[in-house]
Amino acid sequence: MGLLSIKVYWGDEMKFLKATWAILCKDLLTEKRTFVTMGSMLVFALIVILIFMFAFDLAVGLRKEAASGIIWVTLCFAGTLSLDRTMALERDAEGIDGLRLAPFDHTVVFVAKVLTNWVYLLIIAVIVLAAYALFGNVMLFNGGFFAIILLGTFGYILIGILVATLNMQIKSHGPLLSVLLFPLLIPLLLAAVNASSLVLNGGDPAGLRTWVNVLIGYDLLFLAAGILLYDKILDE
Amino acid sequence: MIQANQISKSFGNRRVLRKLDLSLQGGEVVALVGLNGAGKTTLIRTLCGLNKPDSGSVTLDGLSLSKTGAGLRQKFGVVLHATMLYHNLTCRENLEFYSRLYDLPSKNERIPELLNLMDLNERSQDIVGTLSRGMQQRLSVARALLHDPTFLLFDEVFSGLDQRFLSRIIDLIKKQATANKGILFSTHDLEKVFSAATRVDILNKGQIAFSGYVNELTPQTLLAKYDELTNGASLNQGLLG
Amino acid sequence: MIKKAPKTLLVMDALAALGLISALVLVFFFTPVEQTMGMVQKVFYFHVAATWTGMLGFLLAMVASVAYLKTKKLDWDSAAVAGTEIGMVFVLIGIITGSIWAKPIWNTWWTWDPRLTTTFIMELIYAAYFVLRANLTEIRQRARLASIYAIVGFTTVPLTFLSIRIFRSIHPVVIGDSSSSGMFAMSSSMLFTFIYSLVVFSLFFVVVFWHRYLLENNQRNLTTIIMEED
Repeated sequence: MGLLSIKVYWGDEMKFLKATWAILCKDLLTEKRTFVTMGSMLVFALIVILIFMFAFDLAVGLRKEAASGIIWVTLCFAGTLSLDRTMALERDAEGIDGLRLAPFDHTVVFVAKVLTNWVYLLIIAVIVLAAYALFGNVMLFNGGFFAIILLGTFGYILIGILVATLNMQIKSHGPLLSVLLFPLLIPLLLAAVNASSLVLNGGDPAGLRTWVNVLIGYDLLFLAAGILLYDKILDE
Repeated sequence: MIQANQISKSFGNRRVLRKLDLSLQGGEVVALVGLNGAGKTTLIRTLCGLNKPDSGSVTLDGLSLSKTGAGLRQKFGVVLHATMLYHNLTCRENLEFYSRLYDLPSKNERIPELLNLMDLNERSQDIVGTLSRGMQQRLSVARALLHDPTFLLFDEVFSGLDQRFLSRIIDLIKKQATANKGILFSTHDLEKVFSAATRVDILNKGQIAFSGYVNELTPQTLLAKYDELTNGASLNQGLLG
Repeated sequence: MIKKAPKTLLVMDALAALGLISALVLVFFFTPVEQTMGMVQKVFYFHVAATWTGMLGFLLAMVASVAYLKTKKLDWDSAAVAGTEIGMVFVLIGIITGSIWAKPIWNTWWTWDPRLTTTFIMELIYAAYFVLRANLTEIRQRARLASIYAIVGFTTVPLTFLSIRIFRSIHPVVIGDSSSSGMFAMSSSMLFTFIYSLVVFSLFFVVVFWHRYLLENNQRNLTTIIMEED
């Protein structure tokens, strides 16, 4: 019923926005109080960066080249923590029934969760960048890189929330999230890593354009998929 | 009026509802009685749209629940075994959230009114996770009533509440009925049937096996009917009110 | 409604069996041995056929998933399961035969060729599809969630292929001799056998799919009948 209901809501967009805002505030309030998501993501991300640095004890010259790959892999893994947590929040209180009973298309939940988790991931990304730059003694702060991070993390969260919501309905939901999610991320990962690398280390601008297009395509595709399909995931 | 028409529902191998018919009108208070596992929860969930029937339909004032937009859900207030409350937020924050969700201002008078009614004023700033099961249940009732729904569906709402609140909830139910709301509650306790309901429906083997007006029955006749339908299983469940 | 295989299907079973045997005969006795590659080239006839029909299975599964979400008829879910399962097996045959072909020609079991890599990722996605299904017990919920996953999964495939292709064009990898690109000129007997194999495999696919579809439906209906008796 996703598309049809969206049509109805163009008249009710205020209500839709209000409900999205309500869920967003609730999630942020919970996070502010418990700090569980950000805390675990932060620790995990830093440990992963460290492990990479040890495992690939890279010569200084190579660190900038490897930065792109290492950072994106770290973000992908750390991201699963927030995805899992955001749906666990609903599952714990069985609040998901509360949301399902609300007089709204469930796309509201999708939008709210995408926004909150994107913010969390972006914050972690900045910290990870800083950590890598610090540990590896490389200069990473680059406007283009930030832009790629924005695009890439957005796509990640879009498909992540979709899959996390599917996953939440399974009894043994924990370990499956990665299994379900990662094969779907390949184009995103390839595009993000290569685009970032080109931005950081210089290279063929046409290639950069191509990768950015792939990223944008991915983001748009899963934005559309999310809006069309999300309702069905929660509706019986 | 909520109308369930020939609804069937199965979960995997189990057939829970079989071509069941039921109606609930404004002003009615229906007590849904049945054995454990008979399907009372499934029926309630299907009536408010949380579960969709495999066949048959549920309509509200003639509008099909599955085909009409989500806005129809505004008319339902539901209390289930799960409280639908967020354990890391306070009572007040939970109610404010649900207010916003139902398009009410987050600081509205219903919140203190309901907190007062459920005797939760003292604990209103406490985190829900720290509340006892009974208190959470009361808050859940408050949550259900926030948006002044037309139909109230209560699944085992009386369980876990002490005497004081049992009577308060019963009063609440009666008041809502006078205000022309439709209420359906499921219960094990025949006494509740006679104190709160206008009609009693017995759910057995996936159907409403018996439906009768409370003022035409006595506890004995009801129990007898119940035993007859469930082959005496009720004695094992301590149904005697 | 436990349905037996209809007569048409049984006839097709026989035809498919005959077809496969005759295709084998053609491959080994009718087609010439290719100049540069030798005997191993004969793998090609089945390799391409298996892979293409396998992909068909996935496409079918995607269509069936959309159809299920629209109509809520569980038969479509059975079709999705059958399509995915058969697709996975056929594609696996394709990958294995491809490896057998690649080793003598390119001196490697694997390359990061875009088609090959994408196929591998697809297999992972569909394995995940079955993992998802295995963890859901309620029939309608399983059908609904699996359909959504199948749709999302299939949607990523073109993008995956595209991005790997771009990746490879930027990072070309030299695999052995550039002359042994895996292509060869086909004589008319080869072409005939190739098309014959394709047709036979498609028939084989349809037959296996149909059986699997019936099996899935029957399994589900059996449990419903048991329920009715309560």
